[in-house]
Amino acid sequence: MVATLDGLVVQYGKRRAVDGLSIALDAGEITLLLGPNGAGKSTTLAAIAGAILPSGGRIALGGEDLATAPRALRGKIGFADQPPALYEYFTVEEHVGFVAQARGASTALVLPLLERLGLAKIAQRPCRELSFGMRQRVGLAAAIVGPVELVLLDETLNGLDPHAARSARTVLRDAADQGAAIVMSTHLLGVAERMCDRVLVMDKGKLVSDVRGAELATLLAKGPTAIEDLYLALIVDEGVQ
Amino acid sequence: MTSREFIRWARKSEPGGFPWWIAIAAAFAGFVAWRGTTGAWLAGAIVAYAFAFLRVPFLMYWRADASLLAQLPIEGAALFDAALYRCVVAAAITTAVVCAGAAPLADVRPLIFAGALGLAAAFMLPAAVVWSAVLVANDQLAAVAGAQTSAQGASATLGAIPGFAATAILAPALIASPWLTGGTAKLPAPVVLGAIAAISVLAIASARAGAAKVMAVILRDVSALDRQRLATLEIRPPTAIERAIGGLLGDAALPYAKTARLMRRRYPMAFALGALAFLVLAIIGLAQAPVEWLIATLVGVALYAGVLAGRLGVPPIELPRLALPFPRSTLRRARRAWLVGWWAIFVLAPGLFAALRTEPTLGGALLGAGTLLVLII
Repeated sequence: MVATLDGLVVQYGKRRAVDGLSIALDAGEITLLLGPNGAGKSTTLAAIAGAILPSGGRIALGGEDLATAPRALRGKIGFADQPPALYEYFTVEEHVGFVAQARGASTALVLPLLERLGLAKIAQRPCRELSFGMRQRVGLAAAIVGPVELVLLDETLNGLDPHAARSARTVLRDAADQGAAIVMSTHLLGVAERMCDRVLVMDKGKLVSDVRGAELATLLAKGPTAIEDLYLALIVDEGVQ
Repeated sequence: MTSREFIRWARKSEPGGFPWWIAIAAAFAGFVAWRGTTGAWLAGAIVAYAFAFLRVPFLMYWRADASLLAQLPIEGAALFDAALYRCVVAAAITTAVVCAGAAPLADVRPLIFAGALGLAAAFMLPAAVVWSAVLVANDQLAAVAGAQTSAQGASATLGAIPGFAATAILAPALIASPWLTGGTAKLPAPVVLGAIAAISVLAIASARAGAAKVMAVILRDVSALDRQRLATLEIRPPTAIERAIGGLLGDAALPYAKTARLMRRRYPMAFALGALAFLVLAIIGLAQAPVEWLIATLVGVALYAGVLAGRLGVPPIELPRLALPFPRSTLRRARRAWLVGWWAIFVLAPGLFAALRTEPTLGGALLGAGTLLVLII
């Protein structure tokens, strides 16, 4: 088990964006985090990444509580925010290289990774000159570069062209095969269902469904829109919206 | 949308902050009362107006909303009037501070002097920066038509013309300044101040007629050029000084290297103004100018260091949402190292020279206080 969330709460004023969320994230698993807008998906990912402070509950990585663990432990978490946080005045290579070094990794990892994500040609371009899709890919590269064990992607597959989406899927699957736990929120169900090992559905800050393993295989066997059907069924059947 | 309507929207989009200028005015008046000389007031006034003049391009077109405004169907006259409104408000605040500083002198001449420079800040500098932007916009249009042009050349125009205009205003004003104490000046003050006021009014009247037609083009081209210029500028490895400072920082070396590179690219003005401060302090030392000039310059530079400290902690220099594994204390140390480096090179070294050549005790104490402030923030 890579990470556990135990009763995670994030409060914005009077509103509870995440309300007592408890999940365990396993190594080698790609988890799809679904939910309507405002369900608390992005807040959950940002809280795990340490970008926002939880109001309650516990987040542990490899058994260590992130609230008390050394800051260096956060080097094992990669986070692609929405929109991705990029140093606008760095080149693509500089940005990803800086993140790699911050995680204690060699910058020699950077160019091969950019190559795999189809970013080698723009490695020397400043981030501020990039298109939306390119920024998404640079955010993805920064999230997975180095010794990360937990990769958190907030809508990172949005805006990718078919070639970029395929290379992103391949890179993420490889990262999972090497033992990383990957959690990604998205509304692109068709893209995501081709690669996910687990589906979590959130609404109003709570977990409303958790499908994995044989149950997920059975679901996916039903057809190309199986996850979308599951999502819509949950919304209607449970009266979430 | 009329000018009045647009100005109302523009004012809404800029929430008012704490009126720091009242505190600055009180501090300035206290300084003048302490020193009891017109020279002290003049030094503070020149520093204040130098800042006001340098700020004008940022009030006119180097703004975050420039590219958005350029796309909207707002008349050029309204765009220009809103920009001019910001300049007039800023100039009025600067003039109020400078006039408040003159209160202990109980003399009308400083007020006349401040009024002329205030008109220049409100009207002549905006006219000059718009003129430089028109040249740049025309240059860009020529480039589209196939003529030779360059981003560097256009950027130099944008920086050089306002700088030249500021010098052309402050230099004769300084030459005429003995009039403030009843002395004989090489240039007659009434003529100099009257000319500054008259040229300011004429300049803005003629600039408004032309700028209204091209203001949207100016906003679009200058903001596009700014992006292009800053993006391609100085993609260079760390300097020897940055490497030396980084070598002393241990685990803060990496965030320091990042901060140093980004500051060089995003805020080149910090280095230009630092060099200007270096030059002014060196001249004060060489000329053994009255210590009031040293005090006013150090206060101005210390305020600017405070602005830089604020920029070091926010995007695009620091990205909290990137969630990197640096302790906050490490990031703070990296930011402090950059600011202390900037201060040591551009202020402390020439400041020590100036202090030793003017009043070592007072100058040294001020430099010490400034350095302490930089270490704290």
